[in-house]
Amino acid sequence: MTWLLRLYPPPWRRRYGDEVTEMLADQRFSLRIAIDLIAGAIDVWLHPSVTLAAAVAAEPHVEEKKTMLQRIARLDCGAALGPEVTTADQWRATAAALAGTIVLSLAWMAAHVRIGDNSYVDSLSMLTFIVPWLYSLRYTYLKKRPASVQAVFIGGFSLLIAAMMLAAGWIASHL
Amino acid sequence: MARHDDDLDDFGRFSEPALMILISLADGAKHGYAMTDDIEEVSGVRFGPGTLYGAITRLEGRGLIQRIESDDRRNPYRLTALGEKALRARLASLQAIARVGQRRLASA
Repeated sequence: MTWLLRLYPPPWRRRYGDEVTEMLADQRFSLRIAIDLIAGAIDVWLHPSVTLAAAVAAEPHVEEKKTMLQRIARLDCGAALGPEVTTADQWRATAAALAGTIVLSLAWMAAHVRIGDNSYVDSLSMLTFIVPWLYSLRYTYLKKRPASVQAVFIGGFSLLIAAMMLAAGWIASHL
Repeated sequence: MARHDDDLDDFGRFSEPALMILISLADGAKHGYAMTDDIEEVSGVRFGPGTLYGAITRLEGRGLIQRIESDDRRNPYRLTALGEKALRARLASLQAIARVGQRRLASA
């Protein structure tokens, strides 16, 4: 059952992995324990600031070279431990989200008027506030992250959501 | 009633496991497996490793327990002074509640 420990974040595994492995060493597979471990892993990912505090504090502060995916995978931990988000940052994020929503809404309305009823255009309407919101994260959760990480995070999620919306549009047009 | 046990209050569903761990460590340092056995002996409840370490990580993060580094893969944990204070406060609170409950039952 130790393979379930792979569900836990790396700092947690480095701190507690050996101990839990020892506990599970003589344990036969048990659904109850498997569910308990999975629930524990979800808890750690959802509440890193309280469950990873000791593990992160014990980590040697060595600047490791990480791939972009590793950096993105660690975002939640870093963010929950507190990027220094000031009131000014919060205002910038709010302003970016509002201004972006207004600009994209106007652009979407213009497209709607120009193209007329079209399920693909309709499906993209949600992007008018989701994309600005994602962009606003560069002032809060993504603050102090490398520009490349911010670009991949914001661009990646925007494209993913756009693809999902277009797929929904395609389904709507074929019903 | 004034509360002095705030340290365990915001542990959510881990409040009970956290309390049981503090009680288990009150008579000396123990590693995870020994804690699980001890808690089962005391309360009849055997916590799974996910629950146990969910509570341990929170207690350690708040400075209520401390890991003792060892060469063994099983590192024992001990109660800190802060942990002892939190445990005393929580037990006193539970005793007060139990007294009220028993008094009311007796007069019913």
